[in-house]
Amino acid sequence: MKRLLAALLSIATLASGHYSFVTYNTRTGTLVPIPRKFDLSAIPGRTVQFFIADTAPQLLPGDSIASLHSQIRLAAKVWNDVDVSDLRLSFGGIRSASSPVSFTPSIEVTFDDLPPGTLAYGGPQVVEDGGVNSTQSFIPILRSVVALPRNFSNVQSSPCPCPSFSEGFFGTLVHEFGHTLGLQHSMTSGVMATSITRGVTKSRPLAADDIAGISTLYPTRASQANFGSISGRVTAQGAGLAYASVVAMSPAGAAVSTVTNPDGTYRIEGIPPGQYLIYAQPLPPPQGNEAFPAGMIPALDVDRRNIDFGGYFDTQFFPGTRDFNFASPTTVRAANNVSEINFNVTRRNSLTLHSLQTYSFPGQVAVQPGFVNTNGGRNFILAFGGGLTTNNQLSPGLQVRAVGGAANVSSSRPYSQDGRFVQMDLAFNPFADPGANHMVFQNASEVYVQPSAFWLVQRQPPQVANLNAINDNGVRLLSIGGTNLSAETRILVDGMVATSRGYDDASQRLTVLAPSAANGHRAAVVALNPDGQSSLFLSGNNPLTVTLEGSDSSFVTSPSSLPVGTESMIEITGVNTNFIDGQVSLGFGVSDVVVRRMWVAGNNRLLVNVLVAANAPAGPTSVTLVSGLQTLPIGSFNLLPANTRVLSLSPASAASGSTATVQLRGPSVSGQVSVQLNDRPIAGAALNGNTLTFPVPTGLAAGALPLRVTVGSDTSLPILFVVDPPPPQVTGATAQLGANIDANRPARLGETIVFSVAGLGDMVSASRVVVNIGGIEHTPQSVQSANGFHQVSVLLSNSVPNGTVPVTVPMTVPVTVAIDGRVSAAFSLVVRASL
Amino acid sequence: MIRFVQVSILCGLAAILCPATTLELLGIDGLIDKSTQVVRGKVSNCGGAYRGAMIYTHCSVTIVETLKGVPATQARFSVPGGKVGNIRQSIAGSPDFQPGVEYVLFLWTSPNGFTQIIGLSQGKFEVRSTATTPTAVRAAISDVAMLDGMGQEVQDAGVRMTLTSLRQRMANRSVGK
Repeated sequence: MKRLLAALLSIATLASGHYSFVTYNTRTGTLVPIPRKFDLSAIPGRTVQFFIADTAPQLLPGDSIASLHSQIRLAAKVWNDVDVSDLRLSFGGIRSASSPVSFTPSIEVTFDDLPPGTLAYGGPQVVEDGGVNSTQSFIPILRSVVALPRNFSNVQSSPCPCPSFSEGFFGTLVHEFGHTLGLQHSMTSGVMATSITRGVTKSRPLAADDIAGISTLYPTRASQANFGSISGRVTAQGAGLAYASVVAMSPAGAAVSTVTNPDGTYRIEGIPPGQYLIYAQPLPPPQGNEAFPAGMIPALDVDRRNIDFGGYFDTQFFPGTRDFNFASPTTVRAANNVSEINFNVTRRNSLTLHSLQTYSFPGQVAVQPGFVNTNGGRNFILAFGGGLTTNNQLSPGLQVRAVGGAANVSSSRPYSQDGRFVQMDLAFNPFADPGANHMVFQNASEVYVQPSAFWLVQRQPPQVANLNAINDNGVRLLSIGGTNLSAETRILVDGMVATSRGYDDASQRLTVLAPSAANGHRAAVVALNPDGQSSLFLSGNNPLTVTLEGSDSSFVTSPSSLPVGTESMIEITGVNTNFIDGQVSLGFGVSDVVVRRMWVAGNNRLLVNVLVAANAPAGPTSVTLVSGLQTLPIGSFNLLPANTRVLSLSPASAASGSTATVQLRGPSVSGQVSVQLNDRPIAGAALNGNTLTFPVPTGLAAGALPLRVTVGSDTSLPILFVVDPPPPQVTGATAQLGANIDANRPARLGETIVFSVAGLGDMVSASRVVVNIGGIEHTPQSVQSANGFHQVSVLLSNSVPNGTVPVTVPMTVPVTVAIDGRVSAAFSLVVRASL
Repeated sequence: MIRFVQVSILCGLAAILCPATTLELLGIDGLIDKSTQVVRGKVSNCGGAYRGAMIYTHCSVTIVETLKGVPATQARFSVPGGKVGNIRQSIAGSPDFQPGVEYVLFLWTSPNGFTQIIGLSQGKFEVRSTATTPTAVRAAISDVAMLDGMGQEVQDAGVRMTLTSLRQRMANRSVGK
């Protein structure tokens, strides 16, 4: 009984509603929100595939299907790249009405007759009661769908018509993908906010709240180790209040939120460590005739009935104040919960102050949210919305304040050009960091908080002023000139992130590889700076375009068929395909076939590991291969009926000079074992059951090599075996302020230790790295590249062995750093207990 | 240039985004102009069905008055989301309908013959009878959306207008039955 209770408590502790689609299975006791999400354990590679319908929508003049598809893939990549989420997204290909039925859950992007006034909608499909019982922690999504217009000209008002490259359309795509993954609206100015209050851009498409939302639904070890949480209850006259929005807002910029359960309890997950002001704020009223405030899908109760909205109330900061200056900052620590952050709020019948939009004018185009250059001339933003003005005058008692001290609102007044807008002049703190800033609006009776109402930046947006297409000995390049470009500027050619060839300070030009494209394809060129600004801020929906060169392309796959339930290497040989690493997408048009890994082996050669799930439908399917912006003519592929005599191999990797382990799948085999790696026989292989081990020859360069295994008379399908780089090496450890860790200055439990590590490789994210200290696994707080090695920061766990107490004898513990299974040799760390 | 800036501001305000649904605000004249049929009646017989990968709920409306389009006694229309068997797809922002309640619906039929409510909830008005006259009511779409694409204020977002006024408005837009 105690164990059951402990298990239930454990579930309750972990549960969080966030802004997702939820169901409750109990009326009383601890209410545990059960979200709808993809069951990653049932999806090969924990990768949800998305498919694009083969329907050709009617686009705006100058737009193209290639651009539209590239923007869709880029929007999916935004969610795929969240390294503290366990979910991955990949393009599964173009699907037609005749494509085979898929059994593995996936996402369909379709084009339909959306009525005027509607740009997109989408959402997940689930079994209505989800088979939910008291022990199930989520309801699996069977399929999600995004519907886009078959005729884009049906949406005519600005910011639409929305060309596919536009800020507005991209935000819509990322938003709709968020819904397909299980996220609802949130009220915290992320991409899942309404466009009214959205505070993100194409350059920085996700806010902390979006990352918290997706990592709460699909947590990783890193997200659980590195984020904290806040819990409490919102009541009105002693009764719990459902659907109150509770927000943890850092004066430094991040804001993370959730909504309360029916009994008013809440738990905000995914909060980066730091200090936060906490506030409870009502959801905004429904728009038009929407069925629910904020247009949310209401939660369902145990009888699968909608749980009613709890009502409006006065916004309140913790502890019990409407003035954020009197709010108590709450410190959130990694892997810790701050409890009892409770609110007793006062109900009100209606809201007038809500749903505010903020704008600025870096050039002649209105930009939302406001971006204000502290070194520029236009030190003001505008706001528009309910409760701000009355008859072209400020509403009585209206006050606007910025949170955090980076800027002050020096004056507010009706905008001279249109008195329904409020102009807010800003004075800057000279030491202010760039980033998002929050605002609090207040009138005689209401307080409204808008996270990320404006961004401070230190220069103007990037501008693409001129473009040159260059053919450099057969390599197609783009040379881009303009202002406020730098080595950190990313260039989008339609929806393709161009590979940089460098920035020349002297000429102030960026050079990038031109993506592969159909000959004559005209692509929009957009510059994105890390400060959140884009060249679209200045150009609006009229960016410079480039006409790309291309050649007729085609490809063949070898083999062109695989049996169901196997995994194999496939070689793709192309003609004029111009493969560029990172710019190739491959899909088989059915979610039961998964591209596990892909290597660009040359301009026209691609090597791929493909898994055909055991439940895949036998029969013909299609192959969609995209190189850059060019979708090649669809290829054909056959899924053969399952064959119990086919031997296949699980993908594996090992470093040169080490021992590799590979699992065999298929028939039970026996006999002499022989291994061929890159068509060379390898001596010393041994088979134990289905587990094969063999020595990886020394001197092999890191990369992918075909592996074949023969056991008796059975020869396996080939698989790409990955020769790993050498294991990482820990070269030193320092305290956070730079002091070397040694016997004179031991590491202390609870402090951050920075390890210097060589050999981690490129593009390292913290979620891939595991640091084992004295037998205790740690997920890094951060991994930063520095002069050829990495600095891995770890919060030293209190569980690490630490010598005798009282603190007289520090002890030495072994430290290993692992990435993707590559484990360093042990490094010795001197540790003592904290004082 | 100031004028240009102002127009740019206003043009930036005409889209609202509902959960799972991205909407462009249509004022009452936009609804009238873009609809292919405007009817008053009660909604019944709603049921879900797949249309491609998406689930839609298909409903009938028993028409008591046709304000635009060919007069009819029945019409079918669809809203995204719904239930097929035990599979449910939730599309927030999609309107729902109460039995016995009378609505004015602004419908749009695509060239492919697919009929939906314009702008989802925007094209659904509930008819409420007061002591004197029936009134078509649509809750306010937030003030921020009370501008059309040209920056002109839409007078009737958050609409409460008598049916007589609505008929007159439609007549002024030169639409007939």
